[in-house]
Amino acid sequence: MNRISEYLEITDRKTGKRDVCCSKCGYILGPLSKGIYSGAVTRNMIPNEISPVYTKTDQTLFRLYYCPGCATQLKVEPIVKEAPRPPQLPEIEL
Amino acid sequence: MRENKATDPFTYEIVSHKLWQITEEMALAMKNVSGSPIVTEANDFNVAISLSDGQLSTMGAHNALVAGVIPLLIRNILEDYGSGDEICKGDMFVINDPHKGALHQLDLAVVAPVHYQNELVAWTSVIAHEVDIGGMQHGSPSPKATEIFQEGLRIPALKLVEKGKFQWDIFRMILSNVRQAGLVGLDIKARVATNSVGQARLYDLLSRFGRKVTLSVMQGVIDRSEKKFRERLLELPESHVGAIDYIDHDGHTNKIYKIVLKMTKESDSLSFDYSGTDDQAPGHINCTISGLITGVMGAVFPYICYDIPWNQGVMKAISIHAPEGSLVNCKPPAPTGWASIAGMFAVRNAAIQAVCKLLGSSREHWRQAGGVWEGGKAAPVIMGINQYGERSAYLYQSSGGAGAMAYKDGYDCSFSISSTKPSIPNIETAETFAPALFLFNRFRKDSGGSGKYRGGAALEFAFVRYGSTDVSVGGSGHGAVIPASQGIFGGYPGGFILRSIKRQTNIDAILVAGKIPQSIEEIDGNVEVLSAKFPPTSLDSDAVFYNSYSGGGGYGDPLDRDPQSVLQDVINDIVSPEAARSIYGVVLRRGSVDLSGTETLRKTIRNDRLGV
Amino acid sequence: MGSTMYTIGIDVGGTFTDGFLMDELGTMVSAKTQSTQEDLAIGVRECVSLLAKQINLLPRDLLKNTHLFSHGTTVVVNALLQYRGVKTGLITTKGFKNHLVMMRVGRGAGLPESELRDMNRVVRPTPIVPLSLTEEVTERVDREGKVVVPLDHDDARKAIDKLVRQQVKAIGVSLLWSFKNSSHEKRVRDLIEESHPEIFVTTSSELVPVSGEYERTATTVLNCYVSPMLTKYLRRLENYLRKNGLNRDPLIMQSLGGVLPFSEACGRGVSALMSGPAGGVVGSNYLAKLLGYKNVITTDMGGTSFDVGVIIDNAPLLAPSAYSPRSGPHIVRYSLLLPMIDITSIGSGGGSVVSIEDGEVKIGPRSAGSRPGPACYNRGGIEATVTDADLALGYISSKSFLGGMMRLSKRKAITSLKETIADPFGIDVFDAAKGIWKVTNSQASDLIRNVTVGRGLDPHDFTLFAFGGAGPIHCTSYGAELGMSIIIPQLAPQYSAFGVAISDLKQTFSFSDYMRSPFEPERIESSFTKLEIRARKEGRAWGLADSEIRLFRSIDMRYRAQTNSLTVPAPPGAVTSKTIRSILMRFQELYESRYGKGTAYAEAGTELTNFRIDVLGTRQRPQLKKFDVDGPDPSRALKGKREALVEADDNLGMTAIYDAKKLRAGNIVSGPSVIESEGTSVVVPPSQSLLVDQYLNFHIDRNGDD
Repeated sequence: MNRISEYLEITDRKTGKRDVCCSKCGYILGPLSKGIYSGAVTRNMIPNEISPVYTKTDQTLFRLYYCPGCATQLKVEPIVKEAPRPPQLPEIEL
Repeated sequence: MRENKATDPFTYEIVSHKLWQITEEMALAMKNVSGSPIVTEANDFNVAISLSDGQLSTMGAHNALVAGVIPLLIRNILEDYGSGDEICKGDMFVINDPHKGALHQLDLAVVAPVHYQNELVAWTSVIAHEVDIGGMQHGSPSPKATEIFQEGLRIPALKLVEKGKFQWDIFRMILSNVRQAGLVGLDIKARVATNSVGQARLYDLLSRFGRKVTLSVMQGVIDRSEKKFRERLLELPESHVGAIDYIDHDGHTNKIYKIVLKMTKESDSLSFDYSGTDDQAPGHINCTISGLITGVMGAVFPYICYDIPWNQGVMKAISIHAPEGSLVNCKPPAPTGWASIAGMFAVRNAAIQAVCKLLGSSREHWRQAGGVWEGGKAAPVIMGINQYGERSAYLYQSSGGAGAMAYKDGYDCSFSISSTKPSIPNIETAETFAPALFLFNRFRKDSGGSGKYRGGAALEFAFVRYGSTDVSVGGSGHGAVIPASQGIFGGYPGGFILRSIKRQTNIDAILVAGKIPQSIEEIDGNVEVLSAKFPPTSLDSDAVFYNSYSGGGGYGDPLDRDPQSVLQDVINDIVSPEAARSIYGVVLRRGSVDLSGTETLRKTIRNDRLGV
Repeated sequence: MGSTMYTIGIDVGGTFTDGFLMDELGTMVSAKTQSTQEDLAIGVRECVSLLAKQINLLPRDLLKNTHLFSHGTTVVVNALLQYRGVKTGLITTKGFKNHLVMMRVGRGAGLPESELRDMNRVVRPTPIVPLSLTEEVTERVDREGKVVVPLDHDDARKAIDKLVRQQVKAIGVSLLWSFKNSSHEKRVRDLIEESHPEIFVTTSSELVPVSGEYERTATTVLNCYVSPMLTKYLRRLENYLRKNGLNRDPLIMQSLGGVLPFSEACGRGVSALMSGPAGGVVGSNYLAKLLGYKNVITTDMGGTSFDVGVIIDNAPLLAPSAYSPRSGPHIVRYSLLLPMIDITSIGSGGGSVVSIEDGEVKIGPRSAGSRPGPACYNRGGIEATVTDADLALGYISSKSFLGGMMRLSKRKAITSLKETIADPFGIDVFDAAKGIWKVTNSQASDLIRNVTVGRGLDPHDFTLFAFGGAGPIHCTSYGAELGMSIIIPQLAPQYSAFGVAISDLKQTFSFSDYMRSPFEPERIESSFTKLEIRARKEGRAWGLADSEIRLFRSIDMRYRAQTNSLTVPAPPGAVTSKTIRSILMRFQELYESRYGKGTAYAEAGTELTNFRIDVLGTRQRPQLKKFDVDGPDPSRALKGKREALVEADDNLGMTAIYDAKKLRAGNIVSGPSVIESEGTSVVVPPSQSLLVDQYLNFHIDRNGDD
């Protein structure tokens, strides 16, 4: 087992090289070198629309990442307009 | 198994247990003499025994945060006092300077060298949070502060006791600069007593077992922790992991700061690089290197070292870096008043995220991964004239929730992960000391980050002023517009903190009519949502103050949560029926789970996710 | 036979039920039988039979002539630990439904040090009352007792109905500030009794009218949870006893360290939580008073644990108290408000398993129990225990253990030590056994230090009492490190049963009424008056005449802005300003003697929090039999010699073996010796001597001479 996270693992069965695949449905999201979520489906949502416990604000959004195969929610990421995530910051590089 | 010729395993067990016992006695001495609620109730202090060069050997089981502080304090003392030449038997140092190792000025430390046969062989220390240390506002940190000079007395290492003689001039100097001098003075004496106990008992130990055996066990506990920790690191994958955490509001403006971490696991070491972090802020949220180290250890200790004694041994396998001038390694005169709940927390939260992603990728240790605990504080200070006609300020401590784990929900109402034995006050205690009447105090519905495993719920409460006409409320929290407690692997963050005042309400009419409102929405009036840091705001007789802490981060996709658990959550009022449907995709019919309805709903939600 | 009056004490423990009997002349006999878990009362009956047999009476004739029958039991604590109480509901103030389950966080409470680091693993204990059985009612009282929102009767009825529909057998009623104004709680109770008289009800204002809603509620619901079961148990036992001749009220030991008639104790089940362990401390206090010792550390090393209690000025230390901080005792990790004898334990007893974890030696907390028991019991146990080490070191005899009822296998003990401890460390069996002996005793003495020095008490001011099955064996070693004089009472293994038998009747009534200085004498007097009415009523229910009822007043006090509080005794008689002045002075004295000179931050003022009256009733008891001094020569009791560890020499040495039954008053036994008795041994180190007193207790003076 080459576990990456609760729902992702490393496989080489498709391309012979290290790819990220969903451990639930087997969907191959893409090469590991591109980043573990590079192949995920993403959607930005207003936190308050998900639940009222996220007080209404226009300073923060949640970006949700899903497996394109089974739609499992892989990650919830806060997006803060005035404090953007540095692009080179890895998620996890194994 | 490493054979230490100097100590057989039984002697090792006896001496290491006695070292622990000494920290227990020191802690009890502190509680006995001090009598201050911060020490006796909140357990906001800790004690430690170190080697002669400051390495932390045994630490007490109270506030877990001193590990990052004590070695720095001692190293600074050694530097300032001629590498030990000027340190004499019977000396004790008082120190609280964040640039000399303290977390922030409110955490006052007294550190004492232990001499045996004319040689400096060890140190005992005690650090405790003080009720006030001077500065521009009662309680010391102020959102208005722009410089460390405004935050109270800053003491580099000074000899509070010199060769056994208590230095009254230094004592008087400290007390003339603080409010509630009586209490602070007592606490200082308590720290002296604590170290006296530690020194005497260490001396007994050294006499009984000899210098060689005692020091070898003190070193031995460090070596064992280092060995076990490195062994565990070798079981984790080589990797780089990134994480970001945020702090909203620096006291002056509602700006959002980012704390950026790149963690690297290589062979049997772990490194934490906070280079991408924002520069230091003009307000009191910064921390110095002590906060940086403490924050990292605040993640590593509970998540990776849950069965390894916490001491220098673990720290040896870790390297930490942040550029000087960064928010998490600030330069003077940056204000650091609330370093302990702002900058340091953000360091810790980012470290928890990174450590958990690392653990989550491990075949052996994935169960140790989880969401972030109570990422920010949200305690209100109730001030003004109390019900006895006195000017007072009462900090009402409540609690957020713990992060969910890979195999269980987060602990509801957990308090900070950095406290081992926390407790929050009873309402009857709060109403005895503060001019307030509480309308409710309970788990906040949906505050626990949703996920396969739910984050722990935070508490929410509301009160009106009671017994006084001069009441204001102020607060310094974080996580009002950003999530302080992030989830992991698809889990949602815990709910934001929320403070609000509803004015011109009909609360009196409601109570007179014999009802007790159970939500702010049930009351008529005008709501003002307060920002993360808000200055003292007065409460009129018809104002209702509301406060909620941050829930714990969730673990995994909520659609994977066992529907029976969701049902139980709804029965317990911890999850709303709306969230049960829209977030968890669970259909409940007449008090039980509709399995086929749930399957269908979850399928619909999944399709919706992919835009199908 | 005839008109002889007997005093009986029976202590039901987890593994064994111990019995104790004393006649009018103070002659004592004891008995031991296995506890019968399915029905603990059976073990009690068996014990009574065994006692009767020893004095050649039928059980019926014994009971007919029994003047005092007292009982200590673990039935309540077991029911709690195994979650076998009745289905209980809770009614509380609207808006505060979660406060019981919240436990004021409750994360580290009651957990051992080794588990504190693993914060992520901590879960809450199974709730005594889950949220689904918690109902809120609209009502609100403020801190002065003023009604802010009156009790909504409809709400109350709805709440009761909901709970009844869920088939609760008991309901606890705990509302905010009810101790200041109990009218709402009383009304809810009335409503329950009107419609459902069969449901057991406890209101917090009646049980424990003390500030702190979490602890008060926890205490209240725990009482509901265990009282119905305790009532059944006591009624059945009383039935048996009376049917078989007992014509006095049987008594049960309370956690407070006093007994109550069964009928009074039924409704206050939570007060019997520490019924078992309290006996040892009460017995020690009785003996301490008899022998003239004011300050005692009681140590009970049994099969599973090492329990330490403290007696100061002939008063057993209670929790919560100034010496045992505000969080009070914990049971199943809930905090309680009822004062209990404060006993601190570690899992380090005779049956504790010795293991190696990560290259480190651990003693317990796992225990081998009695099945399989220590390896030397020859019942299939292969793990080494403390008892196996004791046997290997020559401190207990394989032949005479338990009066010869059971043979121990030294071979099995040695094999277990070799395979599980000696070989892994690459040392020989003797060194392994020695190491275990030292570690066990070092940890025991650390605990005693914790319990004394940690509270600002000096062990040198105390005498050490050692009992239980393993206490007498280990006490000279764990006592030595602290330099304490030691007393091993006669019948040490059954000491709890003795304590239960000779205990006074005792009850306590408390009431919270927060006051700040300056104080009004009338208000203080009125708080005491309220309590005195209840206290006298209790005394009369015990069958005491007014003149026999002894009342003791006390007040919990603290300095404002500090939390260290003290219980200060108040003189009897009406409170005047003079009384207040003397109480304040006494408080300052006590504070400084407890916490150190200069620690009293008196400038901020003083606060009174709780008022208390203790009620005491003493029953006529025979004196312990006093024997004439026989002389110092113990040779009549000498059985032989064998090799045993002489700790001072760190080696085996020839050790004299004595038979305890043959020792006489005045005998002096010098070390190195081992005195063997039915349930235990006493190790006498060289250069120390043991004196047998006129009550056949053993004394070992710390200075090594007598």
